[in-house]
Amino acid sequence: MTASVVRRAAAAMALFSALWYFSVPADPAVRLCGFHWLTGRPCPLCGLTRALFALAKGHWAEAVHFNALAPLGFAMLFGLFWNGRMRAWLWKGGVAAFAVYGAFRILGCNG
Amino acid sequence: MFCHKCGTQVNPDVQFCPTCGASLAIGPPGSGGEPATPWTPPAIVEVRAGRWISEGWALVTADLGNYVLLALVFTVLSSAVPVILQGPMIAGLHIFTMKKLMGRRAEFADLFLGFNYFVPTLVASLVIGLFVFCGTLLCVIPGLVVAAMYKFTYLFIVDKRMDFWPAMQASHAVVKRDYVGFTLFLLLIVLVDILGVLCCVVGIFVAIPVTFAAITVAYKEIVGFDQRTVDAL
Repeated sequence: MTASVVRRAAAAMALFSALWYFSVPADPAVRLCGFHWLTGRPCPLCGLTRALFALAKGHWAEAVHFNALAPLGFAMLFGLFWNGRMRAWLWKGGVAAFAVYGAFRILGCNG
Repeated sequence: MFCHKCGTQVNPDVQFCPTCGASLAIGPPGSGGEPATPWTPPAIVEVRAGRWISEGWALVTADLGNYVLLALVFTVLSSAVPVILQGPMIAGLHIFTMKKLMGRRAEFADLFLGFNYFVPTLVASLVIGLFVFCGTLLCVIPGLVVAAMYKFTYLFIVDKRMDFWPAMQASHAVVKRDYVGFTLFLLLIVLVDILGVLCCVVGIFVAIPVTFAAITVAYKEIVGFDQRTVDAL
């Protein structure tokens, strides 16, 4: 096992631990999303931060409620620490999926 | 096209550079808007954000007077004429540090050498600003990633004589090797600027050149300067 792999694994563990240990408010007082502020509709990524914290704690239903593609976002986030060809496929597919999901959200079919 | 000697943007029809008088007819192959040799992104990129920032800090502290003056003029002119002057002046800040890294004599007037690349740097700053704005609208983080993606654009324009779009693509080609690392590099740069503001606001005039110097150091390490630029500067 190379030093690079160990560093990546350690960074991924540290991130997971932070997501598992800390919590963010389910209903934040301030929304940082400019798209939501402008249009009143959620953007494709709205709720993803809360969903990632929920997923790390094993709260799947809560995570999917915040953002239906939360498991995919979780996989994409931790895929960043994996230096392989699959990462590029995962991210290309993931970005496309979030774009489609975003269109549904903006049109009012979801969330 | 651009003059291969001084980098001034010139009309393709002219035979001599209106700024330095160099013959454009006998310039090196590919001395127009495209680089002499096709540029290929490095296969492996290792992000060393801390080292780049510390090298940028060392460069700035070694010539603090000039750098603070550059940052002051940069801030005043960028505020007085927002958007229009920002791109060329960022290029000028990079040129100043490039000369330092090449061991050449850098002087205050180098800040205005960026105006030799006025059109590509202006368009780049507009397009990048638009992309970052759109990214920031989507819950902030995509905007940070987009800003990180195009951090080297002005250096590709100045160093490789690229137009704004190929330069943006080249910058993206470097950053996509490690999106996380370069985004963290950008966040560190923002942190340096915040620390500068916290130092009685005037600290920003040290922080700004440190951040641009760090980006130039990173570019030199990852991409390397073009021989034509080394000769021209």
